[in-house]
Amino acid sequence: MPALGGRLGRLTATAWEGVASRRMRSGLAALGLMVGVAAVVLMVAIGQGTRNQVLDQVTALGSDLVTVWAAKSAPTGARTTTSKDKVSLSPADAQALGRMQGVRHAVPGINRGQRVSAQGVTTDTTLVVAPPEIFAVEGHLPAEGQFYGEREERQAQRVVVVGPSLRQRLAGDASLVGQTIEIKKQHFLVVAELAPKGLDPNGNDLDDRLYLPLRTGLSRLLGGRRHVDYITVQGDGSYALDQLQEEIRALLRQRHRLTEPDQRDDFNIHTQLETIQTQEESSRLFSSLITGVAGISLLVAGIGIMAVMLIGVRERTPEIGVRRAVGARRRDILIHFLLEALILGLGGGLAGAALGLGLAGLVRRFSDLSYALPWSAAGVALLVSLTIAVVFGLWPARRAASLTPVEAVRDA
Amino acid sequence: MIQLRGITKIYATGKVTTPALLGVDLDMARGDFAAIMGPSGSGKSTVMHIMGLLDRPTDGSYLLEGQEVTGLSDDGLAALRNQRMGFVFQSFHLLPTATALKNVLLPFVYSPRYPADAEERGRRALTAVGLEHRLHHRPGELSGGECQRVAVARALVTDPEVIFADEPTGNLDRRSTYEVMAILQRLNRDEGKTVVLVTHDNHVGEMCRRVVRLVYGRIESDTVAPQPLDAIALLAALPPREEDRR
Ligand SMILES: Nc1ncnc2c1ncn2[C@@H]1O[C@H](COP(=O)(O)OP(=O)(O)OP(=O)(O)O)[C@@H](O)[C@H]1O
Ligand SMILES: [Mg+2]
Repeated sequence: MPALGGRLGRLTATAWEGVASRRMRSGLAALGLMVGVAAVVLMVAIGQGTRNQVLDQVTALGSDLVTVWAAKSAPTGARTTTSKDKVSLSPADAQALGRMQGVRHAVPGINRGQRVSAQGVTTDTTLVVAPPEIFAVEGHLPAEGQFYGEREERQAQRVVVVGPSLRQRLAGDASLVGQTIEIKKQHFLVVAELAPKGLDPNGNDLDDRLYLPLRTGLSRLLGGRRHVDYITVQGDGSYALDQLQEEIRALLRQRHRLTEPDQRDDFNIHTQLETIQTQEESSRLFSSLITGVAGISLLVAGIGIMAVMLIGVRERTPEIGVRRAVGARRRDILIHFLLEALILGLGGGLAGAALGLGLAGLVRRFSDLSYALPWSAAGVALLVSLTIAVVFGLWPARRAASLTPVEAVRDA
Repeated sequence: MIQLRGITKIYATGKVTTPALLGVDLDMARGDFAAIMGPSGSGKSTVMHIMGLLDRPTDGSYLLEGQEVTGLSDDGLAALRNQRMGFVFQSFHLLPTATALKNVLLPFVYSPRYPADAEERGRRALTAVGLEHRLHHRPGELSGGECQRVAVARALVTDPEVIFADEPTGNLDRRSTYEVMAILQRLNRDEGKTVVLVTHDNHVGEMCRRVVRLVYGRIESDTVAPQPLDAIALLAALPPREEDRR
């Protein structure tokens, strides 16, 4: 159909001239779409960025971990609960869990707030009392020195591993490895410093910590305590995390003689999975918020295009009449005005996508968010803006095409 | 070439019906130069719109070159307008954002195929109306007379058989009126084009070989002037323009 193709080409050129020769008006019509599309692209990028950030934090904590807390001691309350409340978990429980199938490590531990001093500076920090496996399980690497090991644990040596934030407060940029830290008037040798990890999803500084062997802590600092606050279990991957969680619950209920179904657990089990799920939920919420805002702004943009085009059709009635008089068919007029709408949609959409991607690049550069530039979101937003333009251009275009040559051309 | 028989046109807006044409029989032969005259509201524009296939009669028969056109589809009428007719309107109706040349080429946008020599034909049409030096001016940069001559060029660029003009000189001064009429007379005399124009102006009527008078939707008289006024002579007799004197 060369004739039709040729005609469509001429109509496209005509539509382009119609848009290009009314720069101000066309720009205003496309502006709404541009802002809408740019906003969507930027929001998608930022949403992805925050999501990545939380996932990074969760991965830093170890996403394959199950933590068992002694009952009544909430995960974040470890600093403040009194020892009387949490006597349910023992190092023996940890040993039993460690022998369970599907478990790589089961590490008992106690966290508590502690005043420490070194080199004349005194400060409060979180003391983590745990055997050497804790480093593997939590995925720590030494920034300097060597972590304490089995021998130090067995002999209950007075050694500690210091986190970089704590070291910064105590000694500034100087190293503390080889120096001593004083806790409750006893001196502990710093054997290593942790590589930095940053904040956890709750905003706690994972680097403001001081680790020391379990036995050392129990006997020298905690007055011969026998129970622990929590046991961190790392699976070997043969069980799914929630399945592992059930196995752990069964074993602990058995060990704690909770045989009746109506007896409540004297422990709580928490997985990082829940943190991820919470995050996923909030990012879903964010996504639907974006979609809603995007929908409304694109709707408004579409109405803007429609209004501008309706005014245009009214103003250009004589033009439409002349086109009809010199041989335009109804569908030529319809296609002409739809093409004008499409050009507005394409212009607004492309400008918006470019602006959105540009802003996303700037935000990435000047914030600590990291994400891939949302090309596909930009593509989708562009398609949506084309669709919006055509849908909202349809009515004005039909109105233009419905004019009869006489009513359009009649001298007022 | 045009044969109207018993043409009526009744406008119905809501409950009010306005009869505009009450049975018009009218023939236009090839090479006619006809003015349609009559009081305001007598149906001059209506009959011209029907002849120009811009409007359909309520009743009656219209043969164009022997072919009945009252039953044709909208698209069929559009094609006939595109290839066989040219239109000139009282208020020019040029595209304000396009150059004179672009305006003249407008009919080719809707022709079955775009002629390879379209631009050349556009230039020739503009040359024929004496505007070869105004190709790239926009309507806002042209005088009223020049605008109407661009409109005439647009009407003849497709080389149609008949040119319809509704009050083509209604908005023009005397000189521009003569210029436009001179062009139409030359097209009629040298190229044999049929010209049908509507006018209020008796002086313009005197430049037409045939005058059809309408009253209340009927033809009252249809007269032929053996010696119509020559617009070129009238133009020459005008006192010279300011700019020509300098
Ligand atoms: N669209 C319309 N709806 C209703 N009535 C109409 C319409 N168009 C024209 N008429 C009526 O039809 C009659 C003839 O109109 P027409 O425009 O043909 O007159 P005319 O002779 O061209 O007048 P004028 O010299 O003022 O241009 C008038 O009474 C007019 O009011
Ligand atoms: Mg009229």
